[in-house]
Amino acid sequence: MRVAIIGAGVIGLSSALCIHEQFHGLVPSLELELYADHFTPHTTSDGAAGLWQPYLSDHGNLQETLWNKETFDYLLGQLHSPAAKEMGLFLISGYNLFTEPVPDPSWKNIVLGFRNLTPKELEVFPGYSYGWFNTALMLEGRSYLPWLTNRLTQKGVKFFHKKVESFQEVSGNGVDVVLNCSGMRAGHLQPDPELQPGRGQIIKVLAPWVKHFIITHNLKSGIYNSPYIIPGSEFTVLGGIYQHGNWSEENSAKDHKSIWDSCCQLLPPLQKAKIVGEWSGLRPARPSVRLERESIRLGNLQGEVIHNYGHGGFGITIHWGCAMAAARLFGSILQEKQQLATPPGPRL
Amino acid sequence: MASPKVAVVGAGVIGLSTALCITETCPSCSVTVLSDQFSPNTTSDVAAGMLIPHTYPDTPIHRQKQWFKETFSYLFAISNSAEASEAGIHLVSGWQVFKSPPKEELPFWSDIVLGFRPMSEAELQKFPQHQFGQAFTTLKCDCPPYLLWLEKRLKATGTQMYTRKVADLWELQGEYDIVVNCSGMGAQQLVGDKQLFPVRGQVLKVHAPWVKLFIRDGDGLTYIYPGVHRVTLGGTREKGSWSLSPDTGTTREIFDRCCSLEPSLQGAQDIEVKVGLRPSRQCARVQREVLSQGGVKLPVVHNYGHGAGGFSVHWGTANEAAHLVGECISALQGSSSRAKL
Repeated sequence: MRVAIIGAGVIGLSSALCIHEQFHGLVPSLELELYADHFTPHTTSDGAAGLWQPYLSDHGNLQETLWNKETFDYLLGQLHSPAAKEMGLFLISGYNLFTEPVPDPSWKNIVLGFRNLTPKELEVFPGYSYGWFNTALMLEGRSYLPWLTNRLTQKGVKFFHKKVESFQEVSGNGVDVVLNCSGMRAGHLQPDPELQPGRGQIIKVLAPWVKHFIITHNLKSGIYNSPYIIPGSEFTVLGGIYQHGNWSEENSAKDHKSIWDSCCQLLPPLQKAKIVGEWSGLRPARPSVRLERESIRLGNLQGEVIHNYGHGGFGITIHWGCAMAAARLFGSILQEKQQLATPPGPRL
Repeated sequence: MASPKVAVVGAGVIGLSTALCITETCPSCSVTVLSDQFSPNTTSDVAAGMLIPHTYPDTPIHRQKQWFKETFSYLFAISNSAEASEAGIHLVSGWQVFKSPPKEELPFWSDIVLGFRPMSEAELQKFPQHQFGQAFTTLKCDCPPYLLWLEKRLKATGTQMYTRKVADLWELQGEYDIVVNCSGMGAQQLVGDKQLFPVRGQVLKVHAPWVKLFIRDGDGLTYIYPGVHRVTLGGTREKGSWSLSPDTGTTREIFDRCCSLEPSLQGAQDIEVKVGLRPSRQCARVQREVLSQGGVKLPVVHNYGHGAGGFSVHWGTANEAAHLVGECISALQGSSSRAKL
């Protein structure tokens, strides 16, 4: 049973790991091979700050809220393990700021210690009159992706550095299942007008005195179009750009100025922070995550594709729940191919 | 008295902040700081600088609360300004956890720190050996940056600072009109205060930049305080011990206690061990005194004995001491005008 995974971002690597962990004991011939044109540190996941936080509203998509919760609970369970530091996993507290009262988010009971901000706390942030405080998790891509890669390598997963142009390309020669975790470029493999870039730009600074994440929200401009500050283990990420439909991965001077000015206004001590880098990336945005099976004609044969892409700006937040869901879809494929040990019985 | 000459003895957080307060409340004063040690060799440099007050048994609570409130407000304003990084002042959130119910459910300072509330069940799950907890956000003053920043501000006012071991306050009479005694542990020798005793603290300063939250055991012995560049792991409270040498067994023990609260600390690097003697007293001594010897008078303002709570109350006691210096000046001006009659 050969499985090809396309994509080596957080989604591709974690889906591969989840499938291996659940099925390698049950399917002796299970072989995983992973194809990607970019590996860490050059994936979209590497650019993300790594803060676990879903969007403000789940738009009624309870499935995604559940996947977010599964991810948080899984990561919280890993926090005390010796692997936590290598994974880039740690606790972090911080603020979400608004200019008007808003309903509580779907994730208020998932994170730790969720509460409203007190008037004294709001004094720190002039211009914002309402907000939340909570403790969440950071999972830094720069550490997590290499950790996932190491685990997969130890388990004998083979990696191939190549730009895959079609499902057929990887599914010849006995590959039974393709896991499509191609993120932003999924449209090249199969057109999907619902998948659009949500361009982001970030400035990396040294500001080790910042111990909290601070995320502002402008309900009119939409998610991530308002300044945010996220302190990591080595540097702090300043951001606040979300441009729907913009495919450019070049840093823009205009966006730089907008991020810098708005973040310094939000947190004046940042004026003294040293800039150490800048990055632009494309959030693979979709009205909802595409996580489903599809039977595809691959030459003379039928093959199965499991799609797992379109996680927008919450890939890290939702990744493990999606990986487990992808593994369940894989399980049902195995069931159908009768690869899983089932007691032999009369076929009626 | 045109320009009263004030000597401040001591250049830890108390001496420097008191000197600064005096320059602000009495601009005509000429202030000089004298100390045998300056940053990074003061007791303050060893401290984590967390704003979590120590309760002085013999000081009225309202006075301690006032001291803490003034200190918190003052530092809060700096933490939100462009000076914050230079001064080493930043907000930090975290948890204080208890194995058995705390004596007071609401400490006197709970309404001064930010967002004080009991920990949730989910948060307490991270601490299987602890049953209760408090979550809040407070300030941290990193040393040496904070002391260096105070020194810089003092220099800007024209204050002179000299390395000098003062063996007796009377040495300063004649050179100075008023002496402010911020000698910390040194006050035992300097003014013979037998109520002052050391409480030895050993700490580790480590590189663990992923630690963003503080954790403190309510018994005060084990704590993890993330600073700008290093995390302070503590500690000990050895009453009566004068030893400034690090003890390797203690280092191992502190590290183990902290790792049991925060397992990821196993990966901490660059462990630096430091020792300080908390200048402890049943109440911090903030008081005026007029010393008298052979008909000569020397006005003294004492500001020492802050023990484990120096950073938490420093600005409040500095204000009070500066106010007392003002009273000394009035008294001197009163007596000098009488002398002219």
